[in-house]
Amino acid sequence: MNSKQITDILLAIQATITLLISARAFYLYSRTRSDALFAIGLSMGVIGLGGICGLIGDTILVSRYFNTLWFRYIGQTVSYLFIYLASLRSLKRHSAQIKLWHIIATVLLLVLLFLTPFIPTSSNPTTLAILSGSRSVICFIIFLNYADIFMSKETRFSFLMSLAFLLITIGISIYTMKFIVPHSISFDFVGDSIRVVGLVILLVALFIG
Amino acid sequence: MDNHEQLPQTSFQRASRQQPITLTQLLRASVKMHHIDEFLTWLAYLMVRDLNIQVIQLWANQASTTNQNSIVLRATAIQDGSLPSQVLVNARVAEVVEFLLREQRGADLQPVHDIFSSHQAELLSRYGLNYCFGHFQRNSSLLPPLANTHSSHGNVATPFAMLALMFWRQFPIQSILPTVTTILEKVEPAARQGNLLLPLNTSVGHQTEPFMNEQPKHELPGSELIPHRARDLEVMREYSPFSRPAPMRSREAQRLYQAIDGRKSLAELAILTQLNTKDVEKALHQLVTQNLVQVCNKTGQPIDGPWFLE
Repeated sequence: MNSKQITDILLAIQATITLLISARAFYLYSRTRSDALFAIGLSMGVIGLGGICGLIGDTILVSRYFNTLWFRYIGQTVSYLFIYLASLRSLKRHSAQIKLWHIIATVLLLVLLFLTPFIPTSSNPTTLAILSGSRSVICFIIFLNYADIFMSKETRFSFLMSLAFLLITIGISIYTMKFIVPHSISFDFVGDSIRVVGLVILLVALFIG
Repeated sequence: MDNHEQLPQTSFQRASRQQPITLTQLLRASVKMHHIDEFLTWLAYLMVRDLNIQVIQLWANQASTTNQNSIVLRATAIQDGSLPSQVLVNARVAEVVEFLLREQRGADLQPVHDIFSSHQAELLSRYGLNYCFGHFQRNSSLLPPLANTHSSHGNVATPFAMLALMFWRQFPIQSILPTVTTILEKVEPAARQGNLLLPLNTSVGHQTEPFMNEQPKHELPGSELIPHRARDLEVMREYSPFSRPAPMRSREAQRLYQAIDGRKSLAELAILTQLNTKDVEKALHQLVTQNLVQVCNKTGQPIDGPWFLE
């Protein structure tokens, strides 16, 4: 098994987890119309779609002709941002407007996805590091938010969420190192593996939290 | 409702031409039904279906043992099932209904902007409800309390005074109003025939003093306050959005909880759920003590409520 196959397996696991969460969230949303469920469903759907794009790019398409990294990184940053906004109590009153902005942002992301053939295939590593690193910044903010909630409320959900986002932050940060330190393929595996553990905990948090 | 299946699929024209059939249907239906609300709901459904009325609401006065009089929505039928209930059942509509019931009169067919506040009229127009007509009727019978309450809730039989409020998308054709009026005026005799109304001399817990000119009171303590589902406020913080709330202790609490959307005030919720003041307070008390509901003011600030926990 080569490094590319290992990366694809990790990508497939990530896509499966996020799409599972998305499907469950939209199923419950159809019954309850909860804005939080909508935010989770759409965010995880976009992240899952990014994972699928990554897999397709690696397996079917020739990755040197199609650069899906922009959609994947920006998509994750935007999606995690709306998960963060859904967790802010002060914004609960504006959930309808946030939902609208979430839909607009998702449409723009899909436009970006369809523009993939026109995106330069060989992006500057610094640009990619910024795009990839922005995900870890927003995940770290989410971690701090849940850590704060856990300190005051001590609920299982806030504990699991803070742990999940801590691991996702670390995973993405390590993964991003590969754009800064050249020829370090182990950053890919270690980063993705930690992120998978984080996503599994996120899944557990949502289903039993 | 089973009775719906027995109705012939008449068109508007047929219904207009054949009013006696409608009266026959009314009489036949009234003897088969068990409660006036079942009868009124069936009638509202029939009118919406056959007379191309977009919405019909049947409002009535409701007396209680504590002499607290209120208005209740006895039946409603809506052509477009996707129309949100809060568009039609809210404090602004209730205000107009209260006024008309108090004045014992209906309202001419007119644009909604001429009868409702500008905000409410815009809301109705947005959902394609542009014209409104109100038909008032009263008589010597007594309306039993709502089907979903019982005497322990304090509601008693009340002198029959009903306002039928109808909404149309387009200005209806001339012949529709006499048809509507004729049908509505047959409601009381048909209901009495089916023993769905009580005679005035009924002595069991009815309001003996007519209260038509009294100011209806449906104010709740904290009617300016807006209950929120506590879980909605804390979801994605303390609870997973996938988790379910704890079971409700009573049916009233369940009804109130389901109606809470974080926007409607307690007074609006009382009208929407058709619960009286006492039941709303009791249900709210249960929900708050179960940590299922948090009461906030209009700016969204949570309020600790000794007024409803006493």
